[in-house]
Amino acid sequence: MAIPSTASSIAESVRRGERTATEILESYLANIERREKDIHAFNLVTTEQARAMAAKVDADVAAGRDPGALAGVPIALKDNMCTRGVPTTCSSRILEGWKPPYDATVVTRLAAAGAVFVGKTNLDEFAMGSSTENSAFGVTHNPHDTSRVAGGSSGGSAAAVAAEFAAASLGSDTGGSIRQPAALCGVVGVKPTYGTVSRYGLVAFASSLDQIGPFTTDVRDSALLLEVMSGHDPLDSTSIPQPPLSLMSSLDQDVKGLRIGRITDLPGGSDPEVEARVAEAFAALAAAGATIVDVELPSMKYGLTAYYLIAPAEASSNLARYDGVRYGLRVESSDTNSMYGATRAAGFGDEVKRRIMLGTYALSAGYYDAYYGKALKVRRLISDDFARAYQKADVIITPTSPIVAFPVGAKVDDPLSMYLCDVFTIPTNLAGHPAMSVPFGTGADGLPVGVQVLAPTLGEAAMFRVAAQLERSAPGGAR
Amino acid sequence: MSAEKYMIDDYELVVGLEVHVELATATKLFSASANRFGDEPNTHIDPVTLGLPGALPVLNRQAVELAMRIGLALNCTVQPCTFHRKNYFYPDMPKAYQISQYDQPLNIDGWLELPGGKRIGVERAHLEEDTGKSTHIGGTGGRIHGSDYSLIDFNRAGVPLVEIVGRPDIASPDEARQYVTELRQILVAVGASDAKMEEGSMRCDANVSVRKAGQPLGTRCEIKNVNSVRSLGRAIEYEARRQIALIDSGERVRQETRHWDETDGRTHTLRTKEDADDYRYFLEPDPAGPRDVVDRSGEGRLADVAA
Repeated sequence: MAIPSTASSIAESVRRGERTATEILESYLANIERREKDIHAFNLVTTEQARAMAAKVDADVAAGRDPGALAGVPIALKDNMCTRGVPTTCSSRILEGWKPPYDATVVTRLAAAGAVFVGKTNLDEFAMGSSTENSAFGVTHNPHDTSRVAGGSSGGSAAAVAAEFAAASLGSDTGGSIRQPAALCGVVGVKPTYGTVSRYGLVAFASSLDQIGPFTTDVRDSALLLEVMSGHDPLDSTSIPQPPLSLMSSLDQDVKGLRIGRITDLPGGSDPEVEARVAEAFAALAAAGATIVDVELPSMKYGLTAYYLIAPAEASSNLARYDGVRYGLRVESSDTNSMYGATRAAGFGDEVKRRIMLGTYALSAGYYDAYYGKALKVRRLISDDFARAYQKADVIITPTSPIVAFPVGAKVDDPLSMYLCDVFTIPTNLAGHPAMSVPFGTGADGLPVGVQVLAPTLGEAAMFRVAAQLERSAPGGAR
Repeated sequence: MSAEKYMIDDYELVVGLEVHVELATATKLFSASANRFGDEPNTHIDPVTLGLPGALPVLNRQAVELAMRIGLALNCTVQPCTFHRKNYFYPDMPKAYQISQYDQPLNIDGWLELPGGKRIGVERAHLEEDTGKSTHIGGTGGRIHGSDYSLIDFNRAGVPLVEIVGRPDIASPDEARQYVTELRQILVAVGASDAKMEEGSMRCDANVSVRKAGQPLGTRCEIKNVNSVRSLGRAIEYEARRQIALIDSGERVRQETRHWDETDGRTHTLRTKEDADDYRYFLEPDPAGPRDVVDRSGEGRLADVAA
């Protein structure tokens, strides 16, 4: 009997005693052994810790104790989530070797549910990028075509699931960093409503935009992980005081009567094949009984610009703590100020430096109103646009990424073209809304295309209903 | 006390005091570590206090309540407020920003009445977090410049402070002493702080300028490192005489921050206005809904913060 390939089927078989967590783990470790050298999904594979966690799950099952909803599910963690005693680098030289003395809340919750952590995944340094090429520790390659990028910034987590190095993984999404790599790697990726999943222990990039979410092979698994991870955390004041999301019951509901929004003034420039898949997605939803309605989001075209002021501004402050004084890299120098400079010059890569400079400038006296202040106003306009659109529609559908996975190196010298990868994902973060990417057929060169489902604040139930329908209707059929 | 105006030669003094007080809370402003003075260094620390990557602040309700008491005792309007980040690098400030209040502080527009009946205006009394404490080893004068190395104690980092910004209504060293003495008694009486200048739980900076009667305000200097009520009076008088001597000899008073030296009884230049920092204040995105901490009735009651 084959090893089950989804998180929910793994947990079910382990809980029933049909499979051991250990044998499941070993099969995933064998995949890592075989293909990781070509993919580079991980900064660190935590083999011994994983074996110990699997053994504990097996002991719980043997002793008749409840091993948890994710019993024995091998899960990879993006390397910007704190893991006690296990290096957490953010793919940056400045944090190389740093071992957090504490676990992120999501790590605690997944472990309590019986998950088995297989490793820490590669990312664009401090989650700044769309290709996982801005890592200090090497590029992550797309499992569908290793000459291509996996997307980013959570490229390692997306690739880990696509390559079956883990049954699920966690990423963080500040402007599309879960959804875009999910689309490029052909897996499901969810950015939940801001405040749904605790950020405690997630190394901050842009605090008002960052949100943790899952990568999985199917829609059901994402619902399962979110049910385990979500719910109020007193350690994160931006966490919404509410019980965990309840999503499983949405998966089997059809989409009859749901109103699906199509943005009439969506920025153009997508691959024709991506546009074709999205058109097919609308048709499939209509065929399943949903109503397609036109909505306008006139401020959406300013989203990218606003984002590249707000996110760097917050980052310039969040990353100021990497000064060589307390932890991580220190480059010795004659006095404190020059030590800060030497440490940060050596420790940060080019993209991080670029954004720190952008953000510092945008917040500076005399420039605040023209840049940061104006970007905050655009953020408000985008939220207002969405509010109007969601009076007419229950969810909105767009491409996740305008293009399929591009060749490694194709955009590294052109930051603006790289930034455009996130044109459809960024508005969601500015509004604090949930959105997810669902694989929907292929585009150029047979590479995966993702369709994005957007919903209003706490609209995850409708979002998952539509995502599940898209999965059932996807070219090639349901998994 | 004399009703006669305090003058040095034919100059009058214009003094405004900025007083920082540590609140007598059980724990820090944004974390559960103990707020205690005098213990072994680095024993009251945690991921939030150290500004470790991924740590997040959670606002201490008791600190807000004590800060509101101060506002009410100083006849302030207690209002809905926000937190901002004040960004600058300093080794004993772990996040390289201080969480403070900027354009919407908790308490505004109050006053304190001196024993003789004169009211000294209070512009604002806002909440912020304290820094750690550096001890510079080697070199001279305990300064960081020229020292061999520095030790940092983070026990004080994150301790809740209220900064009480007085209006420049003080006209003599004696009024300054009265203001601080009176303020100290109020802070102790309302249970907000033990307000000990010697232990640093109450710290006072003085903005001093001089002018001839009827003239516009003179250029002010900020005096730091004043560690007792007695030194405060001495420092103000010294600084006023220094400025008068400059003006009388035809020179200009430069706007600068000056350091009071208890041993030689003088103030010394610490930094001039030219290297003033740009703190790049912006709304703190981490402590959620600081606007909602205080209700909008303006009556100074705590709103029900969701648990």
